[in-house]
Amino acid sequence: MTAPVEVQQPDVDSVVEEDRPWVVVVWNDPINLMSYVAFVFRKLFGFSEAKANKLMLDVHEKGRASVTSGTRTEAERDVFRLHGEGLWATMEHDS
Amino acid sequence: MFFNSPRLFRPNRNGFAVQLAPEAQQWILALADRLEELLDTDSDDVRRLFPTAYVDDPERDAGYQILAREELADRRREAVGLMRQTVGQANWTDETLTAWMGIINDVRLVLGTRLDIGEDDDEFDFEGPEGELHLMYHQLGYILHEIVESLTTTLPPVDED
Repeated sequence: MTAPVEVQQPDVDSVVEEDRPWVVVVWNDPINLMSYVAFVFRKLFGFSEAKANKLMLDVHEKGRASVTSGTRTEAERDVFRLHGEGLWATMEHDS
Repeated sequence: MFFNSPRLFRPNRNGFAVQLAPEAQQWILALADRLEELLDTDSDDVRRLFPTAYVDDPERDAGYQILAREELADRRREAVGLMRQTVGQANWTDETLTAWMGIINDVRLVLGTRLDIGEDDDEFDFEGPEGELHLMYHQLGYILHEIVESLTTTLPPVDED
């Protein structure tokens, strides 16, 4: 047994935060065309037509859909790309 | 298939043969000019063009907006510039049609925001005081849908997942 020594406490909060993935959420808005939203999903993320349509319908019917996830940097990049196409996207921690 | 084939922008070897009337193109370009003027303003009409990224974190969102807002505005200016160069041309490339699509969508976002379009707004009063704006909104929606149909033909095939 050794005597306890003072150690620098790691910043647990920031470590935990970076370990938890971020999720990119697209929200329903009554303006964007459904066909346009599905097209943007396919173009930006290379989704199949079936997957893009399912996510688009989730947005339309449930009000939101998680489309991608990753590190904060990755999620922010995807949010930015979606904003570039006029979609209403936000990012949040996976819960 | 025949009924689903795009009509206004027909895919060909060089991109798309433009069937949209020149007058309609000029009309859209005039709207794009007005959109460009709004980009540098704090007008409530353009709030949908620069959405919040971090809903629950104003500090981080402010950081995002500093980086993103100007970039998003610049891209739109570039797209409007490309529209000015290509208006009236018989053939548009994928890049050109994509620029027109993005700006038409942006103009719809601005119009829809101003008209306060809601989820159940399926019927419009074209005769009312905002009838002209509603009509524009719908015409742009039709053209946008046609562009989406055309550009969808350029997407690479993807295995179903």
